Amino acid sequence: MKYTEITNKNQVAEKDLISLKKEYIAIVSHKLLSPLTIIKWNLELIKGGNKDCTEFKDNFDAIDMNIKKLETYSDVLMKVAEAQDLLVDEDKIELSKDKFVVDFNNILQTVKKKYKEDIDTKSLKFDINCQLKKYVVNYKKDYILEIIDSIIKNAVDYSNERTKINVECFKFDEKKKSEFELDKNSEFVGVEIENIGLEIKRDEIGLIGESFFRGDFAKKSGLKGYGLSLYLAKILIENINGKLFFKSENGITKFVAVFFVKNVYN
Amino acid sequence: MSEKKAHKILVVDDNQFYLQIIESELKKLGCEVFTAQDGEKALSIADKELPDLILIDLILPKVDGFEVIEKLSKNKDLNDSKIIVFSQLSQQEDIDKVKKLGADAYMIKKDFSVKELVDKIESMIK
Repeated sequence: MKYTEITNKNQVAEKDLISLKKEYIAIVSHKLLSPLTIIKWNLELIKGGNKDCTEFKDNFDAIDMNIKKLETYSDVLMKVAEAQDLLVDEDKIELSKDKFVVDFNNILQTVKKKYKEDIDTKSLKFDINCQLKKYVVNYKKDYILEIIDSIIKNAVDYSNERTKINVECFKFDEKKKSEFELDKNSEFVGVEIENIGLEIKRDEIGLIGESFFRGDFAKKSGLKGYGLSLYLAKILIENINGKLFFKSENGITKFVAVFFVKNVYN
Repeated sequence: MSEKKAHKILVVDDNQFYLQIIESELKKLGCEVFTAQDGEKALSIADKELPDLILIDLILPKVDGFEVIEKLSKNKDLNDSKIIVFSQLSQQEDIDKVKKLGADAYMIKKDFSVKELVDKIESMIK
């Protein structure tokens, strides 16, 4: 199965977007309201109780966990809103004449560490294969970090328990450049993220990377994610002239983020 | 309530925090409480236990709340069971839809305290 590019695409018909957007808003509201209601309820039980505070450990734990949930949702929504601003105002694009040194392996290890708790909770095996040297780019490495973070978050969220996530970092050779239809005269680094879990169906291909994707699915499945992470990755990578590809077959989904690089840093 | 037959209540929600609180509060009333975290399990428990009241969320894994309510309403053995929808969805079209499907009441989670919810359930099973 060939890779499909999801950057620089406008494949969703307007009528589909309207209904998806409506559903998406309902889902996001639902996800924000649930932790708030649970916090409110637990406070009500604590206030109404006559016991010593130490006997309300479960209530305090519930409050603590739901505050963390709220922080995560708010953080992702905020990042999406900021990234959408980039699309509106092209002057904000951070391509510059300055050069920045990027260590892809270090970025991957940082992201893995960030999601350690989720990875352990789902008993996932998480392998990184990155033998690359440091590269020079003309955009801040924070962009690369955020893009990789978003795709890995998506992979962790949608992976089946006790499966494996493989992350591989590679330099595009001539053959690979041809496969992904990249400029033969430029240098590119790819980060491939493979996970086993929810398969993306053919008729959903056009919707991948839209912020409303998976609204309906989330309703039925109860899964978290809604594609917000992918949407964020898509916007950011478009803004640094990169590309994002995916393919999904037999439960195995692969995303390849393509970053334009200048040269090897010595 | 101990001398009477305990009321059977089925609580359906994919969020364990809601389930824990509601189950604990209803048990204090002397109710027999069953819980389910997905629509499929809810249908199976309802079929077997024939609860007096079903408190159900709409966003559920496997089979969503709309479909569960539709199936429960068609089950003649559950004709006397009350169905309360308990959801964060507040759009009028969702409310109208579940009432058409057979729900007896619709409660928006954020608008109710634990006490108000328990009071509502008590009033409906009396």
